[in-house]
Amino acid sequence: MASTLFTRDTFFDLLVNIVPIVIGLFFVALYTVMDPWGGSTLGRAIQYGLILIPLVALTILTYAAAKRIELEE
Amino acid sequence: MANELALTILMGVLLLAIGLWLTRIEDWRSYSPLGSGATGYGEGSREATAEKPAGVLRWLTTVDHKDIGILYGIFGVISFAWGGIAVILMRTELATAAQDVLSATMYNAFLTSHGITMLFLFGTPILAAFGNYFIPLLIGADDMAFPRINAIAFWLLPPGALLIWGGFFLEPFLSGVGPAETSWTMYTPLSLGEGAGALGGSGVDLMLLGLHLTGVSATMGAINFIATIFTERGEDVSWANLDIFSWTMLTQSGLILFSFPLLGSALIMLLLDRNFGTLFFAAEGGGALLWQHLFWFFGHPEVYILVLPPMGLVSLILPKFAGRKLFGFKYVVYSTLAIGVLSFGVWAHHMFSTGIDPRLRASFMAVSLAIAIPSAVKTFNWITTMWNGKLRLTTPMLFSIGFVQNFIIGGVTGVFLAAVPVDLVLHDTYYVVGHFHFIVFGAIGFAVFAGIYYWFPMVTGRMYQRRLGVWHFWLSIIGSNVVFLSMVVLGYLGHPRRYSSYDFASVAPVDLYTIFHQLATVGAFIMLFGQLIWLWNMFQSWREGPHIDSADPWNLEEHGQVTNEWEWFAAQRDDSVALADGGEDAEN
Repeated sequence: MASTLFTRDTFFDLLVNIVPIVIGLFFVALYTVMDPWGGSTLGRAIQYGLILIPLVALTILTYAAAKRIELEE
Repeated sequence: MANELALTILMGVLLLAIGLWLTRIEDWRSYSPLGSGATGYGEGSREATAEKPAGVLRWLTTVDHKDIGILYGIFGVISFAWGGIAVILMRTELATAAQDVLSATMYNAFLTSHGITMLFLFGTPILAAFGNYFIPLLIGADDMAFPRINAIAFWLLPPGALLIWGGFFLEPFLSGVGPAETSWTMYTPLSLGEGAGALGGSGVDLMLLGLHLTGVSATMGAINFIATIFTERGEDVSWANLDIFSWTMLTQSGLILFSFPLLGSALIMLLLDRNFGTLFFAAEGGGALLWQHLFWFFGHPEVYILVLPPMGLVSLILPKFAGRKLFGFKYVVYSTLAIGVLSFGVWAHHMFSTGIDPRLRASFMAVSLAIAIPSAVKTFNWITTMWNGKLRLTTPMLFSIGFVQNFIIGGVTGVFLAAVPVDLVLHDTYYVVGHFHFIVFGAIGFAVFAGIYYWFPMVTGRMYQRRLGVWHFWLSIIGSNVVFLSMVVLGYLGHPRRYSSYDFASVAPVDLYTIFHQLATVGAFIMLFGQLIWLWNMFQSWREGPHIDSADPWNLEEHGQVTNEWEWFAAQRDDSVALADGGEDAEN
């Protein structure tokens, strides 16, 4: 049983969920640098929210699951 | 009036008498539970057990998770047959460009019924069949957490199905009622009854009510699975060693819990719009696109509701015949959870061509591309599990490998659709139909067959006919690839989907279309032949197949792959041999 989640092994186990998060963040950065559409602040907020909300939810669920799986072993 | 009343009462008395008579038939393929002397369901015992009544009453009143699993399975097979016959008729029509077998309205009705039936009445219930039968066994529980709710959830399905199919049954008798022609997406304003033709009339209302019932059923089932996996696990089953199928069913249940109630609400809004003058989806109210947003917020998770448990089945079964443990078990678990969460962030990729704000479209593209990763990771896990393994090409293994092959094609064609520019070209063409059929039949259907063959000996105490199983596999894999690849090519050729005829020579290469449509029709009949073989094999083997000679028909022990449900099975058989004369069968 590992005493902490933040180990090298756990990181590799979780890589499968970290990659989609990185892809999402890549697009956030891309749309920040390149904004061919312009428009209102609200539109931009929704645009970022649609990417970031699933990523935050994924981070929380991954953490909760990892805590149960990795620390129970 | 008095006559009608008398007839109604007479009919009621007659039905009651039939019901009572049915309960008196004790030899209703009744069986004794394995622990009580017989070796399986097919034994036709004439005696009821202490716990369960004999006859049909036993099936109507059961709260045993295994029985309910079987009921779900039989219901799923009947639905599969209905949806299959519908599509065979459609493919026959499409063999020529002209409209010559079905009317356009009947084609639309079959198209709608095929989609709704396969997704709601076959897909979800057949997975519930596996979940109900095997999850308590896999996690070491006595039963589901709420056995009665389990039974109620199942018994909501038959009336739901009758309502969904009701338009077909009532059309000959009532005017203004016909089968729904809305397609499974039920897009407004079409489903509001606007435009030319009646489009099913009250048949649409019946279908919406039926869908609502099936949604309630799925939600109750999901709550039960979540409660069971959280609270009923055996002492030796922790989160760390919970089997992969239970993980996928747990995630699926979470998705159902968050998405089906939304579908239910949207259906009620649509019913209110259709019948009570509300304006939720009318142009002067919320607008037609509101329906698409609500529908796909349910609809895309629904895709994963259908595919996650099959992924779990393959992850469970494939290692058994590869002689190795599942490669990267934790990867599969975490990626299942990732798919579960991200599936709620991609719904508008079905709506790229609606004129949606391009900034929002870009966001949905980003999440849709991201969700491809956890799906692809699983594929590598399965391939790596087989790599350098000692493969045993049994029927369940063949179907598992077929699943992986079809999932790769279905997945890769899907990634392209996630990219906005490609989607704008291919949207609403046969490419999309080919893509998702690779998933819904090529992957989900194949995993279901893998599961059925794998556990057939446990459920029936008998072995299926292996040669027929292999025939079933090859006819299915060849047939499905011929059909679905033809559809992908038709999409590249620009053929729009949902057309009952395609005689538009002035604007499109009809000769070329015809060739690929005919190929697809031939493929569909190959598949049909395969499924008939399967049906015969199941029916005949269940009644007369050879008894299995041990509790380990797949030699799992030799490969160190025995899981909880097989241990349970062995214990039941041991008890059965020790307790009763029925042991003779088990020994021979």
